[in-house]
Amino acid sequence: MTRIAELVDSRELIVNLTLRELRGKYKRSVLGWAWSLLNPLATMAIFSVVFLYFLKVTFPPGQPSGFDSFPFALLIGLLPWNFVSNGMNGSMDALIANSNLVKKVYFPREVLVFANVASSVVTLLIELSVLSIALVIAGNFVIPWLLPVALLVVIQTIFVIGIGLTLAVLNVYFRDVQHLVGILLQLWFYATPIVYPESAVPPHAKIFGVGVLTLYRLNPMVRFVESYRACLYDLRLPPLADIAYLVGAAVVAVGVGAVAFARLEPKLAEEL
Amino acid sequence: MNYQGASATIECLRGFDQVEWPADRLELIVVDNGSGDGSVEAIRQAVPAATVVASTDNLGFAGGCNLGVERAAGDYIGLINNDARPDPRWISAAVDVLEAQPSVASVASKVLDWEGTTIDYVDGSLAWFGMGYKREVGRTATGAHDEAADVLFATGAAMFVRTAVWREVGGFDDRYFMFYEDVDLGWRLNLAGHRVRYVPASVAYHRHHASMRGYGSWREHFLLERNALFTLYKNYDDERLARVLPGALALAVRRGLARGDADHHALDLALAPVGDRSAIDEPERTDVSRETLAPAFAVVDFVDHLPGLQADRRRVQEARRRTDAELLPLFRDAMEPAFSDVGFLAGYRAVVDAFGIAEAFGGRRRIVVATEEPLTAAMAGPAIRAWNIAGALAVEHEVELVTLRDCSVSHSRFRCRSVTDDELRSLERWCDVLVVGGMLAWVQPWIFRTKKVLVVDVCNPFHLEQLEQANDTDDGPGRVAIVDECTSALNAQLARGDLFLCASPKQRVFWLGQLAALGRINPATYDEDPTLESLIAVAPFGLPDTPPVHSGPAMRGVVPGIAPDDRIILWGGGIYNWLDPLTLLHAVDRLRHRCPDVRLFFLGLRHPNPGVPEMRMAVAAQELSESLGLTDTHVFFNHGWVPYAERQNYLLEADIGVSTHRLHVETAFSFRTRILDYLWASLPVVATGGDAFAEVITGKGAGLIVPPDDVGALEDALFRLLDDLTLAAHCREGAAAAATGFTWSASLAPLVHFCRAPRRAPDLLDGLGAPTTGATGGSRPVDLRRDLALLREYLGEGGPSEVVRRAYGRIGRLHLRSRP
Repeated sequence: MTRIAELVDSRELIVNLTLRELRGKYKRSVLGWAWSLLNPLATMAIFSVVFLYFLKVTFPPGQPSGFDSFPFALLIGLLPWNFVSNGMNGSMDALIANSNLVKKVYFPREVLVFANVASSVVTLLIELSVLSIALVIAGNFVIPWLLPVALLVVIQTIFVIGIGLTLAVLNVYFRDVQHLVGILLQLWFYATPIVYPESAVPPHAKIFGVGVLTLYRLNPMVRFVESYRACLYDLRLPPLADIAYLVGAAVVAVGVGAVAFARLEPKLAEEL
Repeated sequence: MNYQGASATIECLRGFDQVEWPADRLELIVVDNGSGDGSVEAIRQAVPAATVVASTDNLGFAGGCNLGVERAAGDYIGLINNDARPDPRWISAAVDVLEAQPSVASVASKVLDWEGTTIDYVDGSLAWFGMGYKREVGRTATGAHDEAADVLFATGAAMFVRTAVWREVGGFDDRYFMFYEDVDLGWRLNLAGHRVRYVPASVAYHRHHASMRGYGSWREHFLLERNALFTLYKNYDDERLARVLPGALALAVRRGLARGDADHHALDLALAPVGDRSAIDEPERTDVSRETLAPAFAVVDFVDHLPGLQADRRRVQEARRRTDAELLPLFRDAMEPAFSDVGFLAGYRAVVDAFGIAEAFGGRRRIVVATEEPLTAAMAGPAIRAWNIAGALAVEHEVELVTLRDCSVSHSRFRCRSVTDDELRSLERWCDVLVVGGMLAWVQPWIFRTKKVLVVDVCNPFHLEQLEQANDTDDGPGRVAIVDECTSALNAQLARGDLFLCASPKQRVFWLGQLAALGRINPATYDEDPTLESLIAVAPFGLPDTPPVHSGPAMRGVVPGIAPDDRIILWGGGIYNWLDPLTLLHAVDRLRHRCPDVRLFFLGLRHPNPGVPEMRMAVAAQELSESLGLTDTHVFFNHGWVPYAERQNYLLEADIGVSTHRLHVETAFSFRTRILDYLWASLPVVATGGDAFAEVITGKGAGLIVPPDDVGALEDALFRLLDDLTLAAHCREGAAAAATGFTWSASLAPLVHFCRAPRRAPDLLDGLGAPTTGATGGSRPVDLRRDLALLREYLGEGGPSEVVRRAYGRIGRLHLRSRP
C-alpha cells in the first residue's frame, strides 16, 4: 500500500520522465513525430504486399460493418501489438539505460518503467487517432466505438506495465533476458492474429489431446487484437468474456510484476 | 522566606524530613522578613535544625532570599516558598543535573498544586513587554511535561542555583520586592551564557498565591507592571529595547484602564456632548480605581529607579554572552498578549504594528531543511551539511530536518525525521522557508512551484561530478542522459531559488556564470545588491565548534600491519573517479624505501548511501596496490565507512592528510571536505593544486601543494613532512590557523542572516508574488490527537464556553502572527 502511495506521489516525476522519453525518441530526426506514424504505415505496406498479394491471406469482411480491407485489418492488429512490443523493449532497458540516475538519486524505481510505458501509450493514442480518422474516411464510422477502445487501452496498459516491471528488473540481474525476449517477441507476434485472421487457426486440430484453438486463445494478445478489431473493424462490442479474461490477465501480470520488482529492487543500485 | 504566620513555614520545613538527601549535607535557612508576630521564635522552637535569619525590615521576597543566601555555605542553593513542600526527590534530582552538566547554572523544578493534580510551573514564557508567565498553569498534570528542557527562567517558588553563579550575577534584584525577580534572574543567567534547565523529576507542591491573600490585586499589579519594566530595561540589547519600551509603557497604562474599567475619553473635550456644561464645572477629583492607577504609578516608579537600573543594565550588557536572537526561542511565545480584554487587544495590535514588534519577535520562522540523503550515524557530506544547516537555523527558528530516506538520528534543538512525499508536501505548506539541495526537487518537481521562500544549496556541482562518475558504467547515451538530467535539475533550481548557497568563492564564480546564462542576473537582482551576495552567498562546509577528541584507538595497534609508532598517511574519504589515488600509490611505493614504516590508510570505500557505487577508481586503486605488493603491508583499505563521530580518531592518529586529484573541471570547482577535516585535526596536508583549498593551504602554510600526476613531487612532499619535524609542526600550526576560518557558525552566517528576514528574489516577484508564510499560506500539520486532548482538557476546565474562548484565542494568535 505504501508503495502505491509513493507512486501516486511520484506522478509529477512520471510525467516529467515521460515527456523526456517522448522528446528524446525522435530527437534530431528530420521527420520527428511523423515517424510514429510512418513506422506502422511502412509495416502495413510491407505486410500488405507480402501477405495479401504473395500469400493470399484474406480477412473476412467485418460483421456487422461489412467493411472489407486487408490493410486496415492488419493495421488495427498491428498498433496494439507495437504497443506491447515497444513497452516490453523499452521497459527492459528502462533501469539499465538509467543506471546512473538510479545510483545518483533515490526515487521509486518503478517510475522508470511507468514513464516508459506511458510514452508508448502516448504513441499508441496518436496512432489510434490517425487510424480512426482514416477509418472514418474509408467509410467505417468508428466514432461510437472509441469508448470501448479507450477501455481496452487502459486494460492493455496495466498488462504491459506488469510485464514491463518483471522484465526491467530481471534484465538487471540476468542480461540474457533481452536476447530471450527478442526471440519470444517473434514467436508471440505470429501466435497472435495480426497478419492473418483468427479463423485461419484450424478449429478442430488437437495437440496432446487439447484443442489447438483453446491453447491459442490462452494468449491474451489474441483477445486484445480480436477486441480491437471487434470495435474498429466489425463495429461491435467485444464479447464480455474476452474483456473479463483480459482484465484477469492484466491483474495477474501486474501482480507478478509488482512482486518481482519488490523482491529484486532493493539491491538494484549494486547490481547496476 | 517567612512573613507572619509561621505555621505554613513550619509545615514546609518539616517536609524536608521526607526528602531523600543526607541531613548533614543540607542546610535549612529561613529568613523572617520582620514579621514581628513571634514567628522567629515559633520556627526556632518547632524546627531547631533550621537557621532562622531575622530581618528587622520586610525586604520582600527578593531581598529576603538574598539575605538568606548570604548565610548559605553549600555549593548549591535551593529556594522554596514557605507555602510549598518538597517532593522527596526535589533536591537529589536537581543536584544530579547540576553535577552532570556544568553549563547548567540553575535548575527549574516542576511545581504542582498542593495535591499534585494541576500544574503550577513546567515552563517559563516571556511576553515581549517583559511579563513572564506560566502558560500551562492550571492545566491538569499529565505526563506531557516530563522532558527536561532549557528554559528562560525558573520559578522562585522552587528552584536551584549554583552558589558561585548566584554571587557572580548578584542574585535577585532587591528592587523587585516580589514578583518577576525570578524572571529577571533567569534571563540574566541565560544572557551570561549559563543554562537554566527544567528538571521534571525535581518536584515541589505549592499552594498558589496563598501569600498575597488579604491585599488588593492592585498592589500585585503595581509590582508586576513595574518589575516587568525593570526586567526589560535591564536585559534587552539596545536595538530591541528601543523598539519595545514605548509600546510596553503604553500597554501598561492601557491594562490599568481595562482593569479599573476607566473611560479614557472622559477628559477629551472633543468628545464632550454639545451643549454639555458639566465639563466646565466638574470637580478636580473623581473616583478612579486603584487598578487604573497601579500601572501609572509603576511607570513613575520605574523612572525613579532609572539611575540605579542604568548601572545594572550596563553590567548585564557587558557580561552578555548570548544574543537576544539566541534567547528568543526560550521566550516560547513572545507575541502572546497575555491579557484578554477586547479594548486592550485592539491597542495591543496597534502597538505591535506601529513599532514593528512582530518583525523583532515573531521572527521565529518555520524552516524545513530537506535532504535526499539518509540521516544515519554514518552520515556522508550532504547529510552532514543539512544537519549543520538545521542546527544553525534552529538557534533562532523552528526547524525540521527531513529526508525521504531513513532517519536514525535525533537532535535536541530540531526535529529530525524520515517523511513520505505526502508529509513533505504538508511540511511545505507549514513552513516559511524551504531549504533544498541535490536532486530532491527533481524527484519532487512540485518544489519548483512553491510560493514559500526557497533556499537552494548548490555546494556540489554534481553535473560536473557525473562527467567522471557516469563514465564507469556507460560511455554512451547513458552518460549523456545523466549529465543532461543533472544539468537540467540544477538549472531548474537555479531558475527558481530565492537564495543560493555555494561552497567557495571559486565555485561562486562558476554558479554566477550559470545563473547569468539562465537570466537570473538581471536589473532586478542587480539593483537589489550589485554584488549579488544576496542572491548567491558563499557558505562553505564547516567544522564542529569543538576540536576533535581522541576517544579510542582506530588504526595504530588496531589495524593488523600498523604498529603504534608507524608513520601514517591518511586518505580521509572515499575513492572517487575524479580523484587520483594511483599517483599516490606509486609515490608510496617509492617512499617505503626511504621510510620503511610509512603506512597509507584509505578511510572508506563503501559510501553510506547504498546508491553510491564503489567506483572504477576504487577498484583500480586496490588492484594497483595489490600489484605493487603494498596491500596490508604499506597500504590499507577500510572497506566500510567510518561513522561521522569516529573519524576524528583516524585524523588524530595520522601524520599527514593527503588528497590527490587530476586536473579537470570537477576538481577545480569542488570543495574537498576531507581537507577541511585535516585542518580540523591540525593535520599537515599534502594535496594537488588547482582547487579552492590549494590557496588556503599555501596561504596559511598548512601543508604542501604538488602538481598533478607528479609521482616524484608527491613522494618528495610526503617525505619532507614525515622527515622534517619542524616543518611538520609548522604545518600543524598553519592547519590550526586555517581551521578557525571554517566553523559551521561562521560559514552558515549568510543563511542565518537571510532567514531573519527571508525574501523573494526580486526578479521572481512578478511571476511568483511575495512569499507566503506558514501562518497564512497553509496550516501546521494537523495533530488531531493533540487537539482532541486539548478539547477534553478545556471541556473539563470550563465546559463549552472555555472551549470557545480557547478557540478564539488560537484564531486571535494566528491573526496576530500573520500581520506583517
